[in-house]
Amino acid sequence: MTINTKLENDTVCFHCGLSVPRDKTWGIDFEGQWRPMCCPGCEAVAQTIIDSGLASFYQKRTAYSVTATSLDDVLEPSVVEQPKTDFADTELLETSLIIEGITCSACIWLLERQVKQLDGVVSFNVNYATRRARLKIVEQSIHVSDVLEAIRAVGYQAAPFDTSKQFSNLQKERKDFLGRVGVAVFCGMQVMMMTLGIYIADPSEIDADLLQFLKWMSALLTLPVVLFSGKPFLQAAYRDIKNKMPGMDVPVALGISLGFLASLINTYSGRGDTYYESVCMFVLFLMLARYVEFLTRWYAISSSERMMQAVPMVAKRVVDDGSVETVSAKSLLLGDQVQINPGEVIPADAVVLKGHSQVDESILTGESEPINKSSDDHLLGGSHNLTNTLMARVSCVGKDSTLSTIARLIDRAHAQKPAWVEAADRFASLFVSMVILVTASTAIYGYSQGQVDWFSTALSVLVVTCPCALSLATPTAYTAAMSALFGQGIIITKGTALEKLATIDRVIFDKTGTLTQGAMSLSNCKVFGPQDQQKIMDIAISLESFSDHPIARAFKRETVRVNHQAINVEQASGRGLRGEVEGSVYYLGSEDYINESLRITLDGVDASVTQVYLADETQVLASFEIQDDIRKGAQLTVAWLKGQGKKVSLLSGDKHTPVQWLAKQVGIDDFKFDASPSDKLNEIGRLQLKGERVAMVGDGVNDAPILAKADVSISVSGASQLARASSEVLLMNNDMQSLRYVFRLSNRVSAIIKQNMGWALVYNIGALPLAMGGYVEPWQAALGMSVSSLVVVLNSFRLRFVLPSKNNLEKVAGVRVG
Amino acid sequence: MGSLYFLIPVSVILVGLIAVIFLWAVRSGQFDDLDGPAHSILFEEEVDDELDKEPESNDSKTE
Repeated sequence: MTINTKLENDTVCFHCGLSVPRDKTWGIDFEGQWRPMCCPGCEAVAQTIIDSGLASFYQKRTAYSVTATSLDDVLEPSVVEQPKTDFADTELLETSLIIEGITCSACIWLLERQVKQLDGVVSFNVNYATRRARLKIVEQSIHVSDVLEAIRAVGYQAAPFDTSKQFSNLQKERKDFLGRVGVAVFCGMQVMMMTLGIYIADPSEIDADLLQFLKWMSALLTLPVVLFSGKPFLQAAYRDIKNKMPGMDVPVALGISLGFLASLINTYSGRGDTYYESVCMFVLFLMLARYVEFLTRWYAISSSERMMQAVPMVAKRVVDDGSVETVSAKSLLLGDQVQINPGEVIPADAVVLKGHSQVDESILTGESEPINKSSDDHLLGGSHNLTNTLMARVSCVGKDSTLSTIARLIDRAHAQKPAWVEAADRFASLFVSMVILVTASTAIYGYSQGQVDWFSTALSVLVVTCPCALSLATPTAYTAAMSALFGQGIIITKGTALEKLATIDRVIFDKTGTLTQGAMSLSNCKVFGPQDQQKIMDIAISLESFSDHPIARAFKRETVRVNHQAINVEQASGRGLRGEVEGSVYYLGSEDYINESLRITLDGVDASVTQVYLADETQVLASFEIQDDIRKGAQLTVAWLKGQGKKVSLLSGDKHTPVQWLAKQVGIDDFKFDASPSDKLNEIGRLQLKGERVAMVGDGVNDAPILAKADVSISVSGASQLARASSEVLLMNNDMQSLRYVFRLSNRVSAIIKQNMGWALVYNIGALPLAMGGYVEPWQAALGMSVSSLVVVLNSFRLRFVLPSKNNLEKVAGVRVG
Repeated sequence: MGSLYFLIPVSVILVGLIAVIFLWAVRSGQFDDLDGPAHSILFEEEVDDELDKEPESNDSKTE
């Protein structure tokens, strides 16, 4: 209910939740009420949804839909390849689609209903977790492109999805994990049950035959656990030994195989102990830990948002006779002529042949101002054409294109990444070598002394010193922290990032798309003087066209009715403007500026919103309220980071004035402007050389190389796929305050890891002499190992309770704002 | 105690069966989407209700 009232707000778009532009009349009549819309795209989509009888989608949904794109161009069937039929005897076709724009589970309902209404669709199932769908259609009666069109009509983007990719490998890996864990659980439970019987019974109570029978049965049940569930450990250990780089898997595999073989021999000879249950539990616990770790990675990779944004699917190629055909962007060749209509994405790097237009290259360069392009200018593939139709010749395809170049930059930066992980690996392999050495020498010593139980002593040493607790110390802490953060909409792709974050000295923010979102807009205009509103607006717009202040952009977005020519315009360093329009002098600027210039005091000033005033020489004529585009929670987060003693910088490709203004707004003192991607890369390199640990927060394709080079990289919601791919922390939440949780949790994570390590070392080192002296039976060693691991796991689990519930956080934030 | 010689092999065979069924379920994709069905079950019911009601409301309109 709360959601409904929140979602049905009058000033925001009914479909997507963006603010509705002033004086625009898009919208639909639904349930007896006028529902405003932000753009014709949303209007068309909402109309389609309601006309198809799916209106209850709007009651079911728990989140706004994504903004619909314009539906002007129709998808040509030739662009989408009809998949080949798998079954020779039927006419059924099966294919996978990847769907973008799914925001809540009601979207699944809407999509499935919409597509199943089509003739010829046999089945259509959307997977909510992975945003993929399986589609089954009758070959002759419907084309895949019709289905894509139907999906587009209700406001989602869909594309045929190549199943041979990384994703299907992950899917396979997940099934593999699940199967192995399951088998270990079922068989391990049975073994444990039988062993428990042997434990609690008095030795005299079980006769020798039955005992032997139980042991053989346990052996039979342990076999699949070792050979099937434990196979990854055995394989990894074999690989490690072959590469002469023993990792944690080597003692694990040794413990499993030696324990099992010794038990088998003892069972066969009918003497000595068996360790079947220890082996089973060992495999099960380790497998579970790896599975949970894999799951967090899986969630990160399968979030497909904006996957297809950068490169468009279709291009309009001009053929020899002058007509235009729609082709897939991939099929473009060097020298092809393409037509790019306003609102479309430029399909490839190209040179303009005809026409002039404004192009938004922010996704590639970070430059937020549209750039004018005319004949012979270069266009970047992936950027956005805004105003007019352009004819262009493709100048670069494939490997040489700008997007690919950026991808190469990322690879280079990855290679230069500080080598944290390797150090940990070297430590582990040293420790493991020591364990094996100690075990072997214990065995040799015991054997040479003629001890009867030399094998069981050596096994105890191996199990006791098995760095299980030690190896769990870090991953369990990561996993607990990751899942706690996941609940808050934060995805950690690499656990080490959390540990590193705690030691970060400096946080660098990108500007466009990271600290700011979208664009500033005028939200309210109050007129005090006798002139009508449009006249006032026209004057303000013509004055602001002289300014490159970010607030001026809000005015530039508005349409002028009568273009006034302002003359003698003077700028007062980012605070205001003075100029003559039609013979009279006007002042436009902040409250301070008006006070100073006119020597009048304004009343009714609301400090919580940004306001701009227009005045002539005697009186104030109007006030404009400016809707801020600063990301939610940015100010609070910056203030908090500074309070924690971190240095905060702003690094932007934008011009001086807007960068300075934003830095002041969010409270960052150190800012750099006009920085190209390679400048940013150098800047980070310089800071790292100085010994600083740098975290970078960014969003765009142009930030991707820098993200890859920074010690810790964080991408914000709405970031491009490339930026995400190079980030270790993904904030899926619109609120910048998520960053605060990440930092706070990272401090706890490094504390918990230290506690875990301390405990594991104390236990291992303490138990070693006892085991070497032969005072520890293998089953006691296994118990000790399990208990010490359990302590580590439970200690890590405390991390899940570090984050307060959302309500508490809002309260805290509210107090701070107040 | 003699019955154990019969019951334990039976339990082992059962475990084997369970493991095989579980592996089949995993491989045939029963565990692929653990979130979607939990939500969709709520929607499906409403859909059925609407389907039942729809012809009636259409009739009343045409009349």
